[in-house]
Amino acid sequence: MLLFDYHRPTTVAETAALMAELGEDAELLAGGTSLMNLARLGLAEPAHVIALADVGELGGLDATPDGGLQLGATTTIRHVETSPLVRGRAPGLAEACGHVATVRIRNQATVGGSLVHADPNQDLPPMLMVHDALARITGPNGDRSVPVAELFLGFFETVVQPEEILHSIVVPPPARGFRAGYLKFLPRTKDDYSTVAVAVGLTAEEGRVTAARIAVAGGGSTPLRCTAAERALVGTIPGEATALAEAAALVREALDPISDARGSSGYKREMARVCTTRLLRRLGTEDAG
Amino acid sequence: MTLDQTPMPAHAAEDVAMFARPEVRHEGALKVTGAARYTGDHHPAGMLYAACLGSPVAHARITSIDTSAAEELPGVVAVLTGHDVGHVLFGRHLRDMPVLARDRVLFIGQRVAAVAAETREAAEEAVRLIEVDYDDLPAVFDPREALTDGAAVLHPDAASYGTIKGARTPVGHPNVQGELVHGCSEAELEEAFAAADLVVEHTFRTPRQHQGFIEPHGAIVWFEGEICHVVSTNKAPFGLRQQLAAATGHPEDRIVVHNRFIGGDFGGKGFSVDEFVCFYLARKTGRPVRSVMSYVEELSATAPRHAAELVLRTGVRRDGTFVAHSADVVFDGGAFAGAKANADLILHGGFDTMSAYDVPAMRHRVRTIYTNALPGGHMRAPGEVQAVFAGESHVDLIAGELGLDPVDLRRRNLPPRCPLAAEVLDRAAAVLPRPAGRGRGTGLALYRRQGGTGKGGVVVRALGPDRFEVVTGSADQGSGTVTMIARVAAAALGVAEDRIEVVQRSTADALYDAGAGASRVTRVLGDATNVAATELRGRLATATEFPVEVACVVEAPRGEDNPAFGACAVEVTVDELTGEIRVERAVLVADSGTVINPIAHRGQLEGGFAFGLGAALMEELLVEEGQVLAGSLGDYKLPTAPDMPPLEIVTIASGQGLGPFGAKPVGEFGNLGVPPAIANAVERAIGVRLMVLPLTAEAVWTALHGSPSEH
Amino acid sequence: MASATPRPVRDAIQVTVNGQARSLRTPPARPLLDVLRDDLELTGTKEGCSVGVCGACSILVDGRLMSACLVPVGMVAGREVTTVEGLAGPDGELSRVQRAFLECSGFQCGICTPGQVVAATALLAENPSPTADEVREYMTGNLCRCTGYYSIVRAVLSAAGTSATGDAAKEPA
Repeated sequence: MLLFDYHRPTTVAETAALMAELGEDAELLAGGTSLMNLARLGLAEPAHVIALADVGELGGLDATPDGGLQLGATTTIRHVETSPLVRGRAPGLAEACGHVATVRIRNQATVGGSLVHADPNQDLPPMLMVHDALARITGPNGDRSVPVAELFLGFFETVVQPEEILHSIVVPPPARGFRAGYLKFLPRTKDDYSTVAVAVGLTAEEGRVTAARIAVAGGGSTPLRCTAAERALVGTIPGEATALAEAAALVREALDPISDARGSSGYKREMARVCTTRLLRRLGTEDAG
Repeated sequence: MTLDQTPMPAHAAEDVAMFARPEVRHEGALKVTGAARYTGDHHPAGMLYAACLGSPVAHARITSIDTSAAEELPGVVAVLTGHDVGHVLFGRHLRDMPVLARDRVLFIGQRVAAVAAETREAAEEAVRLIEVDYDDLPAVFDPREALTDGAAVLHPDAASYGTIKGARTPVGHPNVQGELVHGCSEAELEEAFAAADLVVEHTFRTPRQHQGFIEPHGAIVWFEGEICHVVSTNKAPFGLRQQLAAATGHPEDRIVVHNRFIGGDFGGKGFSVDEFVCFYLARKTGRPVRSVMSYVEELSATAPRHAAELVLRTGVRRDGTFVAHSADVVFDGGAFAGAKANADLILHGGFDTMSAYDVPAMRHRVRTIYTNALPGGHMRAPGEVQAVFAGESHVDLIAGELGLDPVDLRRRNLPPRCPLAAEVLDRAAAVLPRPAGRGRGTGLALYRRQGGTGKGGVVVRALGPDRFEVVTGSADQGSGTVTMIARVAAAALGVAEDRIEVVQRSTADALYDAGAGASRVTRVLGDATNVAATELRGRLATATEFPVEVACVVEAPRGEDNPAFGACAVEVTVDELTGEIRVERAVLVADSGTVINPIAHRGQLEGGFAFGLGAALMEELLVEEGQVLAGSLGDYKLPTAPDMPPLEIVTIASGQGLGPFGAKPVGEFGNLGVPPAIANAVERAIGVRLMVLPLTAEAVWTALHGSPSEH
Repeated sequence: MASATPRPVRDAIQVTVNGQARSLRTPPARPLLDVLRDDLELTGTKEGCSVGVCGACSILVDGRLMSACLVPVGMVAGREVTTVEGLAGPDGELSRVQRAFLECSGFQCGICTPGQVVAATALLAENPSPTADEVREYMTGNLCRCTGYYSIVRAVLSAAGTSATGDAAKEPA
């Protein structure tokens, strides 16, 4: 691996200045779990690395006054998983974080890293999508906000521009009657990437679904929201068999996964259907938290 | 004293009683504190880091190699290609593997060039700067296709290859590594088949699987004058010394191998690769050179378990009596046969398709075939894992055809006058509840395994009236050799275990040992220790001066009958909507003879079970057109702690083994039966028979629902 | 704006390793694993998969379990690193976890053992009396090819003083 220069800015402004100066010779380093692997294998060869660990304003995990959450880009997955605040306000998020790799990786890997790395198999993106989370991106022309559902362009590619920094994630307060769950299909080992994984968010009022969110990891070149399936659920009784079967079939149709050691494309689509069915059934019988 | 036939020393009951006490590993404190030093932990002064360039193509002529950019990189001390090393071939028996390829490469990952540099980073960077041009040749990836007319020939000079002991026995087809037929004549076989009421035939397939030790292969080589010193991950130091001498021409008595701690073996650490190139780099630079494989290399450039296709045919009477059995076993040997340790160049485990049963007429044909992929190697019960998966699946299928209970069918065909086999079978069957409804099933597999043999010696020395040491040249790959030797010595001498120190010495300072493998260490070194210590005990009565020592070399004859029976039974649930198989609980029954290290014994069986579970459910080293698809342990998955089901171990201490105090081999006993037991349970759960390993969720799903539709 | 650009790290990296202050003159990009093993001769931390999967290089950074292969040494400047060599007492007396691994034979070949011991130490610091399932869950990322994990779980439960009842592997009397 190349012995890149290592920079330790302490503010976003310093970080931005470094990025402007170093251009595409530089990579940002958050937890290191992806970049160190890529660098070691020669798949990334940055001449400079800008470490974000000391940039205080990129860290933290805070309650927002409206009842939501703000997750700093460098907040670790383990922090999100174990935070009482997250467990209270967005338990589905804590659940999904608990499925990321292993404790050791979760201690290092960050919220921002797991998004900008844009591996379609990551666990956090689909769960943030079902929460309608927003990514706050800061750049030379100021800040912008992008729904996490619109962040991903393809394998390892996002809308975050080379001169921009993913600053934080805002999770809006969940609607009354909202519940979310995550089902990660791991037919091999507990520490594997999923064959597919499904996140579902359901909002129900007076026994009817008023809003639904379904997002899938491992279903294609990006984490993916399945809007047709979501629409099919609105107005139905939570957990009702015909409705959830229809939605699950629509999820299958929305996907175009790659075939690999974790399953053929067709099998992954079928498993997304099964996981969606099971998750919708589970959420249908759970009380809204 | 050298004994061919070991007398069984008689021992007092109180001496043997110590074996019931759980042992504490003698080297344990070094391991739990991190003080145990493995190959990669040694850093001799002036050491250089080696890195190797692997071929990116499966079969090609090398047209040019340009190393100039690598040589100019700061920190690079030496760069070697096949032309620098010359025509040097190595192997465990057949020497068919070049240290570095010269004119042709035969598999993706084959070593083409090597670098020694001052830093790891410089060595790795230099490798990337070496430019090689290749001219592709037709490649062959399927063993049966390799035997057809017009198939690419991998080794046109095969007849000229030597072995580590001399010339090679000629073979028929140039793409055949080895072939052996065993059993009755074809005429006798067909006559026996003709007497059967029913003849059934099934074809089974098993994949390449990686040993998955956590310590990758590594080596350090340096010279002190004419003496070549080696520290490496090879678990058979004397074997490595012999292979190095045979390949390089360096005199065997001027090679010293110092291996001690080895981070897992499972059959894979008897094969050395980069020791050879380190030899040449060390000779060229005059400095110690260390090579440690990355796991990418470990998965693509070593020697995993052979993939196999097994065609089994059995004739049976209506009452379930087996009358004839044949098996045609084809192993994918990969591009080189050098990773196999035996002169037949096959895996003898291939003969064990039905070895737990009494079948009057049996005939096996076992072949290993060259293909353009990484070499096939040894992995925990080599060949036998494949054969027992096929055989024990086949037996359940026969039971199904005849409408017989699978346990009853097995019981009917056990060897006569072998109550132990019946006890093992019955104990395993007893813990299984009857299957409770669809989706839940139980399955069982029975097997019989012969322990390994060969030569090995120790010196037992009294340093004073109550202080002893045992000197061994055995490396310990984790099985507990040192503690086993200490306990056997203590029992034979009639002293407390803490009076014994086991000292691991280099090949220059210890008696020969054939190395850890084939579950042979307790049988051979345990025996040597027992005989020597017993003799020493007799001399102590009159000893007035110390040290007093007794050396003993034991040679357990090849083919000696030292069998043990084992069984694995499992209860599974199958999720019919996903195909996922979940092992709910399992039992292993082992006919273990006298257990010397009870904790290590249990550990071998528990660890063996986990090993078998991985082989059964998830492990496949996928190779596509010669390219290994797994790049890391993130792709090639090993079972993790939460993946392990509740496991019950049942030990039958029969005391009938040929090892010291009646010990039997156990190292390759825990994993053998797991894949067929699970396959049999799956069929009982959902009526689906899988005849290909691994038994993946997708394979189950596809068997139930048909191929999933693509877009 | 350019004047605000800080220079890359060239100074020695100050880090506490096993309670001892260290000043490391080395490229900050190097994996901490290489620095521990090659520069500080702390070879108890092992290299297995090199990609954060196997856990052989498990270490503690400010008490949190991490993979030394994935940490550039620059990242631990000003922080406290604990390796397996830092767990035993001042006179070399084994820690509670080490003693339990030794007594229960929570190892065979030993290559994963330092990582297992470090991970178990981190677990017990967070959760002093885990159940067997919690042990398995927490230690998912520490692969062992020898033991099938059964004796490791027994060792960790023994270190916690928790009864091994309900443990997955049992042997009838």
